[in-house]
Formats: sequence, structure tokens, C-alpha cells
Amino acid sequence: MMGPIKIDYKKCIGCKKCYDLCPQDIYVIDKETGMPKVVYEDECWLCGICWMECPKRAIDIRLTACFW
Amino acid sequence: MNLQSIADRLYETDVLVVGGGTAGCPAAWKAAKNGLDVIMIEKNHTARSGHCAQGIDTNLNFPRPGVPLKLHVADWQKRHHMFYGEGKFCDPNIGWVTFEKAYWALKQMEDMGCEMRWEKGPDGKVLFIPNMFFGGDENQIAVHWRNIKRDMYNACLKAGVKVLNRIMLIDLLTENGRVIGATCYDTREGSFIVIMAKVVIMAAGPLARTYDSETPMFYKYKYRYHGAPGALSGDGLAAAYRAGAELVNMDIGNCWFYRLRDDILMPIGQVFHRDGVNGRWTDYEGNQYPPIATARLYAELEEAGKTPVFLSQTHLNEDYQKRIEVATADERMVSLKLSEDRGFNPAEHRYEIQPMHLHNFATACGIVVDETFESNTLKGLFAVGDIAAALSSCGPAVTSGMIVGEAMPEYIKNAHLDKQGNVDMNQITAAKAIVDRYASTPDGCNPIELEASVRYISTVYISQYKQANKLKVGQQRLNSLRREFYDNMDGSNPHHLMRCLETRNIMDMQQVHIDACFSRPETRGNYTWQGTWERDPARDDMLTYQRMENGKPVLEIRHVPELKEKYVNSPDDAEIECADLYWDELKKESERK
Ligand SMILES: Cc1cc2nc3c(=O)[nH]c(=O)nc-3n(C[C@H](O)[C@H](O)[C@H](O)COP(=O)(O)OP(=O)(O)OC[C@H]3O[C@@H](n4cnc5c(N)ncnc54)[C@H](O)[C@@H]3O)c2cc1C
Ligand code: SF4
Ligand code: SF4
Repeated sequence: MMGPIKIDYKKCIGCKKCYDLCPQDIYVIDKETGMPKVVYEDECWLCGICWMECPKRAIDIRLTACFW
Repeated sequence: MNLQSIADRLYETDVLVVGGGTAGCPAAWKAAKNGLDVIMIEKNHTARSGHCAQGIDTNLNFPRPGVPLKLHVADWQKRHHMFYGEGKFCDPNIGWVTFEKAYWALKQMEDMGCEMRWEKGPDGKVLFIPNMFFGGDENQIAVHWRNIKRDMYNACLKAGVKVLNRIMLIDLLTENGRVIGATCYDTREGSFIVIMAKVVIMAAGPLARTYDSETPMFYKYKYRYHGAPGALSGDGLAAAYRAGAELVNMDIGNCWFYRLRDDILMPIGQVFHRDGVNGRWTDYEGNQYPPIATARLYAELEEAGKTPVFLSQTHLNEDYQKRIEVATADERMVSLKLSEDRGFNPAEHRYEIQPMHLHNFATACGIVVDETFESNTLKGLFAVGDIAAALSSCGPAVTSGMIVGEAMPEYIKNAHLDKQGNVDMNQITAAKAIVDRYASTPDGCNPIELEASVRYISTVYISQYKQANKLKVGQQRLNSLRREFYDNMDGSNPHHLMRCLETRNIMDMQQVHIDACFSRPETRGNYTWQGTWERDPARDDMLTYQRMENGKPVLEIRHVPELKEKYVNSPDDAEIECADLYWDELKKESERK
């Protein structure tokens, strides 16, 4: 289902910036792959920090229906 | 049981700063620069935490040259009348020192390496702009603060501050009415931490999550606050209150007169007010109204069936529209991306104006401090930024932080704090028990669901139209929620446990808020609509003060302090520290006015 945050794993280099900096702490690092995973997406407030800080623009932020 | 065996980690320091936000970073930096050992704990990551994490566009509170400071303070109080009605709502002495030290703090910010100039490079100018928004006599400066938090964070590290990210305050430790440290929780590792400190500077931001967010929202996506949700759970207020600090004005939350309802952009109001250029109020049919946004005008239009109304910028020239677009992108970068996704065109866009419901506690309310920013009832506890009564927005946050950081070496010396206090193990085990209880309640309720219920009840039964019977029902409903769930939340992993601790604080502060509302009928009115309060002149300049004493809540209604003699009698042309460094640019701005 569509949520506000989507990671493009083809672009992601696993630098963990999103995980380190998200002020709502919605990311978790997957133990097996070492890559970030969106886990607490419903706590995101669309601040755009992960989007802005990601060195590869691998994160897309989309407005969900209730923000539209 | 001893301290070493119960704490997963134990620290000792001179100064503990709680919250690495706009006020906390300057306080920590300045104290470290002055040779003290400083630990700063931050619930999120300091480089992008708090209200300035995405950047802001203006920094307020710079007195205009030639205008006596007394008038600035009077003006500041008038601003509070505008929000809350007649009477004084804040200690004017605090206003005095934040105006007096504003240029000094600006200089410190530059020393800290923060970008305070509009144009980059050594010749860049500090861009002073008249504060049209409040119609007052002071200046604000336009800033590119996109990376302010990152710059502040780096400055703190360089100055030797020990920054502990993802560490959350649980409660304060006290000994005979003095703060001696804090218990904390690692929101990633789940460990329990004790920090012993000679002084604690509370900079954990304001409270808003007792009310619904600004946009009605179903259960998911519930954090649509204008403020940073991580900094809005009132952790610092709740911990300070439980430890014996006095709070004031907790009956009075912030209601903006209006807000710009737009689902893709944050409000951009300041862009218009800057340079004195205003957007236009129009109704659906295109009829125009005076550009000054007031609650009364809105109410009149509503009564006349003319709403919705819009703020339109279609009449502004292209250059201006470009600036609006740039300002929007610059300070809230993702907004531009989202608006582009939706085909946003600033030249054609209209922003809908709506009255706003009560939504946060930042401006008049908070921890009671005097103009040294120390709590009046709890020694060694300082409060800076939005969490301190009378302070709000970036200028006062930075200034108060710098002032307190600067004062710490003297304070520690004069108070003879050469060693750490003696820990009361009962306080430590009580905090640990809270963590353990939530950690071992996997079938407890979801803390965010509980928070959502509290917010819903608050919005329906308290909010602005606070009549006694509604308050009573609201209180009953909150009581039953509390009885059932307060001790029974699911903190089965550190992330959830952080939310449990937040919800505990939110519920404690909501009780303080209701008690305050019950105590003063005349502050129950609503001020974004036509009527203002049912004013009781006998209570003008009287405020509601609340604190815990021997485990019991105490509420008093007392007079707000007067401006002290030494300030009243100071000469009108008293020099303001460091203002001359910026004088040229300032004078030009004043002449323009
Ligand atoms: C989008 C936006 C635009 C704004 N625009 C302007 C503007 O143009 N001009 C202006 O003057 N003001 C503006 N403001 C308001 C201004 O940013 C705030 O008033 C100011 O930053 C408050 O500073 P503070 O240090 O008190 O709080 P914050 O900067 O919020 O810092 C509080 C910190 O404490 C941390 N914290 C909270 N609880 C705990 C805990 N239990 N343990 C550890 N840490 C904790 C938080 O994570 C946070 O980092 C804006 C705010 C927002 C959100
Ligand atoms: S937009 Fe903000 S809150 Fe949402 S995931 Fe990104 S950094 Fe976190
Ligand atoms: S910031 Fe971007 S590149 Fe780095 S881990 Fe996150 S998604 Fe991947």
C-alpha cells in the first residue's frame, strides 16, 4: 500500500544517513542486508530531512491521500 | 542496590543540557567554551532535531536603534494582549534581557560558525527587516537557516561538548530542592542511564501533542504538526514539574489568529510581511478585503457567509513570486518537491485562510524562571527556549541559551557546587521501574493510540470553548483512560518505549492543563473567534502557577512580576551590547522605516 516514504534500493548505498537523522525514528537497519527499512512509517511527519540528506536521492516522499 | 548495578551507564558532568535544539546547542556550546564539562542529551539526532531541523526564515527580537528598550518591552507585552486579551502574561524582566542581549547573542552565533548573513562571504550583510508581522518596533533578520542545526551540532562537538544522541530524559534527580542530575533512556539500545550534574539546563522544547494536529487526520499519519513532533511531547515540562519546578499559564495555549490551510506547503506568511508587502485577502468570488489578518475580520466574513477566504499573491510581480517560491524551497525544501509533484504554480496559487484551534503550549506558558533563567522553586534548574515561560521562537531561544551558557561558571562557583550531589536511590529505582514496567507489558495498549485518544478528548472537551461542564466530562474521560492505560502501555522495544515515556508526559501535562482551566473561568474564552474572554478585571495581570509539593499538586493565582526598578530607571539611550557591530545595516533599515 502507498505510504509517504519509499526507498529505491537500486539507488541506496546503505550509508544510513536516513536512519541516523530521521527525527521520528521511522527507519530500522535490516540485520541481514544492512540496509535501511521503513518500519514506523505512520509516525512520519513529512519533514523531508531524509529526502534532503540522502546522498543518492534514493528516498521518495509522496503525499498520501490524507495530506492531499 | 547501588547506582553502578542499576545503571547501564553512569556519567558525571558540570552541566547537563536536556535537548539539543535551537536553545540547547548555544547553551552547551557557550558553557563548554567557558571551560566546563558539558553533556548534552538529545532524544533524536542533534544535527537534524527540533524545530529548526528543516530551517527557518526569520530570527526575531532585535531592538531598533533609537527606540528605548522600555518601549520594546511594552511592545512585546502588547503582542501578548493581541494573542490572549488584556493583562500581562509574562515577566517583563525576561523580555528586557532577551532584547538587551540580542545583538550580543547574534555575535556569538557568528562566532559559533552559524550562517547569519543573507549573502554569503565576508562582505555579506545581515539582512534586517522590520517586523511587520506584529507591527512592532523591532527588527527581525532574514536568515538562510537550512543547515543551522548541522552547524550548531558541529560547533558543539568542536567545543568539546559530549553530545549523546538518541538519549531521552526520563526524570530529574533532586536533593533538598536542588537538581543534581537525571535519569535517561537510550531509545535505540534500550539502556538505562544516570547522569549526575551540578546544573541542568532544560531545553526540551514546548508541548503540543495534548491536542489534535493541525489537519484532521485519521489514525495513521497523525503527526501533521507545524512544530516538530519529536520536540512537542512536553517531556521537559513534565519532568521539571514532577521534580518540583513551577509552571505558569498552563491554561493558555497558542491559537494563531489564522493559518494558511494548504496541504502541500508550510505557511509562508512571513514572505509577504517582509518588506511590508502583503498578500491580498479575497473570498471565493474574488472580492478583496484589507490585508491585515485579524480574527475579527475572519469572524465577520464567516457570519456574512463569505468564507472560505484566501490569501492571494496573484497581484505581486513576477520577481516577488519567484522569491516566494525560493523562500519556500529554501527553508522547507521538500515542500517544493511535493508542490511540484502537484503542479504548483506560485503565480496562480491561493492559500486558504482558516481560524486555528488551540494547538500548542509555547508562548506564554512554561517553566517559571526569573531573568537569569533559573527556576524559582528548583535550584540548579535553568530553562531556555520555548520551554521557559515568556519565551518563544528562535531569537529568544538562542539568546536565552547563550546567556545561561555564559553564566554557568560563575553560578557553579558562587553556589559552591564543587562536587556532585548525593543520589537518593529511591528516585533512581522509581525511574527504572517505569522503564521496566513498560518493557514488560507486550500486551499493553499502543502508546500512540493512547496519545490519539488523549488528543481527541482534549480537542472535543477542552480546546477553546472551555465551559465547566464540558471540562468535567473531559476530566472523567481522561481519568478513565489514565486508570486503564497509563501504567499499561506496550514498550516491548526501545522505539515503542520512547513513545510510552512520551505519552506518560503528555498525560501528566494534560492534567496540569485541565486543573489550570478549572481554576480560572475568565481564561476559558476563545480568542480566535469574535468574542474574547469573559474578562475579570480583578484578575488582570494575575497568572496561574502550578507545582508539585510533597507529591501533591499546588495551584496558586498570583501577580505577574513588574519590570524591576533598575530597568525602569535605566537611561533611554543605554547602550546595547554588540549593537554597534551591526549598526550601519541597522540604521539604514531604520531610516527606510
Ligand atoms: C516549520 C517551522 C518554522 C518555524 N519558523 C520560525 C521562524 O521563521 N522564526 C522563528 O523565530 N521561529 C520559527 N519557528 C519556531 C522556532 O523554530 C522555535 O521556537 C525554536 O526553535 C524553539 O527552540 P527550542 O530550543 O526551545 O526547541 P527545539 O529546537 O524544538 O529543541 C528541543 C529539543 O529537545 C529535544 N527533546 C525533547 N524531549 C527530549 C527528551 N525527553 N530528552 C532529550 N531531548 C529531548 C528535541 O528532540 C529537540 O531537539 C519555526 C518552527 C517550525 C517547526
Ligand atoms: S520525512 Fe522526516 S519524519 Fe518522515 S521519514 Fe523522512 S526524516 Fe523521518
Ligand atoms: S540516506 Fe539514502 S543512500 Fe543512505 S541509507 Fe538512506 S536511503 Fe540509502
